[in-house]
Amino acid sequence: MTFSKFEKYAAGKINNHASEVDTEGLWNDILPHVQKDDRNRKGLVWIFLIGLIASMAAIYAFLDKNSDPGNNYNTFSTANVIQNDEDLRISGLAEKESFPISEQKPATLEASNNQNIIAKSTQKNQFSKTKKEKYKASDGEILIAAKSSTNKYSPESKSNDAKVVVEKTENHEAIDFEENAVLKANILKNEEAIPTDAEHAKIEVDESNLPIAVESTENPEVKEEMNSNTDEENSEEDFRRNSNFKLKYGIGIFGGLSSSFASLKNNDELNVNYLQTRVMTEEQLETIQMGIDFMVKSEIGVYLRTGVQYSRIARKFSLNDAIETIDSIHGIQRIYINNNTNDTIYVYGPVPVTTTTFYNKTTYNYFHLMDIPVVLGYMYNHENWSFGAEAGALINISTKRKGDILDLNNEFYDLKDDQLKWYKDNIGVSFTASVTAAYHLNDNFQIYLAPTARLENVFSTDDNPVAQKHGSLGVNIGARYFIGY
Amino acid sequence: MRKSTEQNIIDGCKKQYAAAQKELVLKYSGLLMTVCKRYSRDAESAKDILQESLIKILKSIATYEERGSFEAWMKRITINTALKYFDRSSFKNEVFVLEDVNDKDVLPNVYSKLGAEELMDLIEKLPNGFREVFNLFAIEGYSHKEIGKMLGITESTSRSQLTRARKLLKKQLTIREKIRIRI
Repeated sequence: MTFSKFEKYAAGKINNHASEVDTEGLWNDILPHVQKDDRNRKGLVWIFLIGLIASMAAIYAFLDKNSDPGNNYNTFSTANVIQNDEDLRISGLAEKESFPISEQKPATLEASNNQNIIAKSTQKNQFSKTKKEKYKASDGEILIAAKSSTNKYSPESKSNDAKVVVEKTENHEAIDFEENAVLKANILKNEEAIPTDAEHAKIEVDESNLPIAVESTENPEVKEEMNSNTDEENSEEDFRRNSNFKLKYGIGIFGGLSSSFASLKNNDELNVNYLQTRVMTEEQLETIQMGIDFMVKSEIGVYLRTGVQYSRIARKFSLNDAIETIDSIHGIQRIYINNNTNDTIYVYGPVPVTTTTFYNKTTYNYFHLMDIPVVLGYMYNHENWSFGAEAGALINISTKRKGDILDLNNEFYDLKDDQLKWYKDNIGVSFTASVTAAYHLNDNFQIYLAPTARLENVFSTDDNPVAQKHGSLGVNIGARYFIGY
Repeated sequence: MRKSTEQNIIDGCKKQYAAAQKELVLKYSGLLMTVCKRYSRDAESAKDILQESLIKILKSIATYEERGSFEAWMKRITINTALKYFDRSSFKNEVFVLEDVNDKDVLPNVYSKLGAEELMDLIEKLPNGFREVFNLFAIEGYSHKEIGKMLGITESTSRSQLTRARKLLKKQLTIREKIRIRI
């Protein structure tokens, strides 16, 4: 039968025809369903605000402590000398807050009769800010100046060659060395100082866990004693100092929370409806991640990081639907009424009864990933802080799923069974990038905060009518222990 | 280059701007209502389908990749919503007696004065299963293979339903022609 002309005519007329609609009423009905859902965005904003505030605070702390280079001069405006039988004691009030010793107000220096001077400070990392600084005393002032060329007491200290320098003091009695004396010391293993060209006095800066000692040549016995103990260590130290490949090794743990997003796209244009079904019934939730990592870091700050990382991507599946069941019960099938006698006759038999059950099914779907991160980064160290950036790959070693979605027939599809092989068991290589702000608790131990972005590879196979990808933005916190240098 | 109004609406809807969403509803609901009417038997269900379709369109507009026509994309969603709206298992129980209708083509003068609403009335009177196949094939331009996939029927079922739909339409057109001549 030929009917094509009519069909073409009808299609032409109908396809561009706009029917009358109460558009305002329609919009009012639609509006509550399409109002912006801010929950995920709020989570994302909060995570980044926290990360941003923490990062800004770290940067502020960093800049604040470096804003005035003069702060590093150790100047005591007042000084008292107390001489006991055993010790000389010098106490002074520091003018500048930034000098390590002066952070403990008042700083106290103690000198013993045998030409040892002990400076005590309960302030931790008291020499951490003395990197590459020299201190000079004015006439009439007592000065104990310390110079740490490699910032020994910060975790970034590359070697044990921190130096203590004392230059020019007017208070010979107190410190017991000649005017314009210069003392230098190399410090080994955080415990003792090995003099390089110490000439006059031995100085010990003693804090419970951070002693520094400088030996005086005016006390030959002390010098000889110290030299005899440290010749071997000196040569080892020299060897390490002269080496071009100084590496540091770190091991750490981390964990974090991310606001994640999912990208669902059609693999099959004919199943647009299925994509809509998936979009309507599924909702992206948060991602959590945790892991252990190993880091090899060079002296210049470049590092390589690897380890094992676990991530759990959560999605929510919810479906409101109705099931109609038709049962057969025994009941009245027909009623006859005799018009003459008004008798009523009931005929019994099986009668169909339709029951409609409305239900809501909610399932939390989880994608569990195990990845090996291979990440290259750079970290800039300053005193107690490090700031860095890194980027690299996450090599997937396992992907597992659990939960339900709808299939093409609107039946439940078990993600774990995955009978149609819609999902990959290994998603391959994904990408990650982050920035880091780390605080050094001591020479070896640091904690850090790292806003992190991650873009996952495709989770679905080509058999899946919908291609599924994930990504996330979040924050990791972690702790890392370093050895080496 | 200044973006077209349609592009502005799409961009705005992707950003979930309420004004853009409203603009989309105002601009395209008439066009989509025509689609809904063709797949439903009464105004109430057409309205329900339209509302459900527009919600789907607005919620999933982020997935629109802007490769094909935006109108076609929206129509496809509306058609799929309409197909899903009706329980097609009931269509199988539809019984129709088709009297023999001659195989001659309908002359253009029989239908050339029919407007869109009258044509839609004709199509609306078709039994549900026939109406779906006729709409998908003749108006939307899908192939029988595609229709089979969309409706979960075989290609041959699609073909036979189209043939029956055509016969019914022809019969109705013939009746209309007879009435017109008598008047």
